[in-house]
Amino acid sequence: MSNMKDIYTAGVWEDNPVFRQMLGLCITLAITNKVVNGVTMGVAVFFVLTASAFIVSLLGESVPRRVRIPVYMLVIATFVTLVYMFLKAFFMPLSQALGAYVGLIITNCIILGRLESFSSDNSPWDSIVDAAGVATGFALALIAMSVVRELLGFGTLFGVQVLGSGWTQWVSMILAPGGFLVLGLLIWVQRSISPVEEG
Amino acid sequence: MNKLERLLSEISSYTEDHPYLRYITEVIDTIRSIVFEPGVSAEESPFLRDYIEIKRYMFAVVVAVAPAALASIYFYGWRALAMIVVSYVAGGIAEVGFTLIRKEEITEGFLVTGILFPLILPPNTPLWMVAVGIIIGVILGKEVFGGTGYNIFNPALVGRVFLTITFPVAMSSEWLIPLTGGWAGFNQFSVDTVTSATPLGVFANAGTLAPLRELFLGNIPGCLGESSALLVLAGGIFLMLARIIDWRVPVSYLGSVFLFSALGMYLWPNQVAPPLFQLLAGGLMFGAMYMATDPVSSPTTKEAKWVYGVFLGVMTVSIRAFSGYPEGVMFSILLMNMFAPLFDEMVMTLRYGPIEKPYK
Amino acid sequence: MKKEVWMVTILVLVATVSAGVLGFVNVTTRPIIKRNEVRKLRESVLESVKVQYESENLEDKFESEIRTNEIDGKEFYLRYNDEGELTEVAFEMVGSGFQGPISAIISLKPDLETIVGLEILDQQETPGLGARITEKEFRRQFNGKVVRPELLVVTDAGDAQNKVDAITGATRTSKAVQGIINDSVREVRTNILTEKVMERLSHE
Repeated sequence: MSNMKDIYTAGVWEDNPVFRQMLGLCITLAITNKVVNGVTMGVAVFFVLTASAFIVSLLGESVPRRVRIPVYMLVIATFVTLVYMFLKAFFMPLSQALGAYVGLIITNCIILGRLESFSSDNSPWDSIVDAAGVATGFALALIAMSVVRELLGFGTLFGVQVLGSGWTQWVSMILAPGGFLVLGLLIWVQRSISPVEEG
Repeated sequence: MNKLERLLSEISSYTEDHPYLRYITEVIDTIRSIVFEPGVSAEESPFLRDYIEIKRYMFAVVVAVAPAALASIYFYGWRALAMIVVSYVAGGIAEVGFTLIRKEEITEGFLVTGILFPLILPPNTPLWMVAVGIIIGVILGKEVFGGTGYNIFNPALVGRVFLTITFPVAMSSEWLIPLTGGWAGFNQFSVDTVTSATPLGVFANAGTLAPLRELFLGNIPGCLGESSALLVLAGGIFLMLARIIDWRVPVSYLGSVFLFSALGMYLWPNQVAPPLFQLLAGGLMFGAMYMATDPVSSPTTKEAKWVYGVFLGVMTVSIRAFSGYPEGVMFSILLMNMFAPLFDEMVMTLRYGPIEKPYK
Repeated sequence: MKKEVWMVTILVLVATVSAGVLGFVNVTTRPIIKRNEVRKLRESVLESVKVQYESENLEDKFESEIRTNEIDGKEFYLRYNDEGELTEVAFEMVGSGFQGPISAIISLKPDLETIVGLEILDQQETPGLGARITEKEFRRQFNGKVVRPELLVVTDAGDAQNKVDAITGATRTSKAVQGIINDSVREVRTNILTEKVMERLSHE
């Protein structure tokens, strides 16, 4: 069991996809100006990643190496489209806020990376734990960034005014430059807490 | 060596040996290095970097901007001084705090940034914004690159550009009409007459030009230190005569603004303002004298300085004429800061052939 | 040979399963998505002609108050008063904003000049800046303004009949809204709702 726990925490912290592996940055920079967006994207990626990791590890050795990428893409695209239609049908304002980025989860390198490097040659349960760990790490990174950006940018959290009505909006935090600044600062913080081993 | 310099050096060598007085040797040496050039110089060619002793540079720049700083109090009241004080205190805390955490030495590099930064802000910038801007400028503009001497960008401009994109309303649409006559601002704390545009903004929106005489003397809305082209020019000439800054960058920058706006006015008469107006309005004079000449973030070879200045001019005229922003000095200098090392390397390669890098 | 066959088989298999699942979900969610879009459009039309409604009686209100009329391939939402006279004309406008397309509903008096209301359907402008075109304070300004000769979105509108205040810090988006309104109204006025058509529509 401790093995499972190690797999999980590695994805969340030591191998955090955003702060350590620098993956999925396009989505991270684009949608983290509101906490709601961060949470939704985190949940969507969690679903897509765990579900496709499970399917891919079930398929396992039966997929010939030469067609594995097309097969993975099909699996991922299926789940992403599911999420896309689900959001559009039941959470229309959210799907409008996330725009094209839900569809772009297909090209999120975190997912293809996990399928290729872990799920393809591990047991279904280990794969799910690994996917859940990485997806949690991704979601936490998104939430951390969006908390900073929404707080400074709008003075709100989840759309609720928390910094007083006279708060001057930090416009750059809402825009892309703020995304880059906050990402850089958070990477700095994360790596100061547990430094990267040189070598 | 004149008498004063000899005297100081004698005192210094006397105190150094004295059992009680040796503690003040540091102080004497600091004064010596501020007033006079240091006795050390590089001796082997080629010289990639010319050696300006940091304290002397800092002191001279602060002296040179002092008239513009005083003028800002005259035009906008004592609040201008409050902005300078906030900038020094907040930026100083950031600088010292950072160097303590990183266990590095505290350098004097901050003295110049601390006074230049408030002078390129609109006069009614809230004091907390001044603090935020200078902290961002010091930390993200300088310390993360390794501290004084290692920064790619001019720290004061990094702080300013951050404020510009973060608080667009406060930074670009709230200006004050300066006071003139008698003691003007020396009699009051702040000015309340708000206007929505600087001469450049007025030109961009309505196409009307402010009178050149007012632009030259300073009776026009603008950032704290840039109001009076006359005083900025005087400070710049002082720095050039004292050989603190190189004359090539300001001359090529201002010259290319003049040439390209003359050319542009002929090609796009509705968008490009006339040359003399361009030279005197906005932050061009201030930027050309104090920002573009920053010894760390600008090129060091003579030829590169010319190229740098020409590009700066073209870019400033283009941004002013064709972008959504009425002023382009800040963006031009920051963009060209990135090219400064490249220009230097190109010049060195042309002159001496490919350079072997010792740190490879 | 066997390897190639297996390769193709597994691809076909995965693709079939994936297509099946997606097809099923599409069939179940499509009506809901469609209904969402129609509701949003109807809400905006009713808002733009200032008709009060509750979310329960939206459909009924729309049916009773609004006459949908397709002219030259464009949908028009017409409202008549009790005497059967045309009071408002609403239609959808689409144009490019600063970051992406903006679509909106505008309703006009039968003179096709006076604005009754403006509603934004969809936009991708910068949050906190350009996206403020969706805020009521911005849209309300348009009520009663006239598109003659042109509507202007400017920094200092004052009381002018054809000017509204732009959003500070979002000049591009404000100008885009100005362009969309002027272009669509001019297009509708000169090419679709010509005087002859308007005469036909003016009474029920």
